[in-house]
Amino acid sequence: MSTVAVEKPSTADELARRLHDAASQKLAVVPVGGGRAEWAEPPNVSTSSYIRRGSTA
Amino acid sequence: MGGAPERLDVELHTTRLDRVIEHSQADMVVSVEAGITLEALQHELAKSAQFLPLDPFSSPGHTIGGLLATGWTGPLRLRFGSPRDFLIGIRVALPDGTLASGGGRVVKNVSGYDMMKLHYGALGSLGVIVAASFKVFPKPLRDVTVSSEGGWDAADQALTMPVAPSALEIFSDGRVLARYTGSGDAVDRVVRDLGWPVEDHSIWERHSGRAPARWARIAAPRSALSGLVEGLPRGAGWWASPGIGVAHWAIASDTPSVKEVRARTETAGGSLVMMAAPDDFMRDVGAWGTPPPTIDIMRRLKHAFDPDHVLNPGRFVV
Repeated sequence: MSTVAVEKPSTADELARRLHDAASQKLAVVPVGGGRAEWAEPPNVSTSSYIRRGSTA
Repeated sequence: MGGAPERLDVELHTTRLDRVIEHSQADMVVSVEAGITLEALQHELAKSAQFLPLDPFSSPGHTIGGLLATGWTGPLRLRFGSPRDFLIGIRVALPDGTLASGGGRVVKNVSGYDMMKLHYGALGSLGVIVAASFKVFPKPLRDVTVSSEGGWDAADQALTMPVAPSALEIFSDGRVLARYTGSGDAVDRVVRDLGWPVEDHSIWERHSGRAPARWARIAAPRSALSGLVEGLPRGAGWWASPGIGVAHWAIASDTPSVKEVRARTETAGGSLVMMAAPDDFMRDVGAWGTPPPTIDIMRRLKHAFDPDHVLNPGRFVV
């Protein structure tokens, strides 16, 4: 089972660095905005087939 | 919105990017970070009697970046267009770590490729929107909403008045809401000529809160829209903006019926996109429908921006 990391950068530069770090490891990145049905939000996470074991802030 | 992710290793939240970077009241432009909510931005603009004409469904709580990435709109699109019409600048984080900019913070800015339009509606599949600049609008001097029970005929009547409505919605029970904004004299005249009862303005806030658990957006040529929604399964709940050719369907039927409606919509030159549904339902129906003729160009763009396909894999059409 895989672990989903949760990144919450506070600046655009920090976000770009985190994105680059993830991309350089070929990790799949889902941007999350926070709205109820946005771009970003993995749809229906609670019922998704992928497994979330834990997260890191 | 969008398909279920094929993979998920990192959730990259934009919620802490929530500042107003610059608001030039006199120039009527605002620059914000992508994680600011629409409500927070409207609160800031209201101090100057200005607003951003965005009223997306499933409100409140949308972030500006989310709205740009999804291309979500609401009833005010009839008068003001979609955000791509008043978006004047964008900043995007790319997988190679660069921060790319398109447009600027002034209304007149025509140099270079229009990169803003690439990211608008791309569901974050080409980059992560971190900031945006908009042209904003003055609050109207008069803002009146009227209603009718007259169905499509009433909608046609309201749409063809000398003063066009800023928003017009028709519902599956035949009710019609029309919102007129502008100068006092013009709005009062059209409201008087229509003769429909006036509604409290809060009706739009309640309307924007709509967020069915199984929900599809049907976009079609305006001439085909009424036929498509009237052909939905018996008893279906829907609402539509006939002036822009968009309808929203609160799905209470099974997946074959959705596929059948999608086929009819595409035959009519439109599209049916799933806005929300449980994962198994979404997988069976598919979020997007038949790929557009431009799919090869979209794949090449995706590969150019995100060669390892790490951004939102599986969510968008490419």
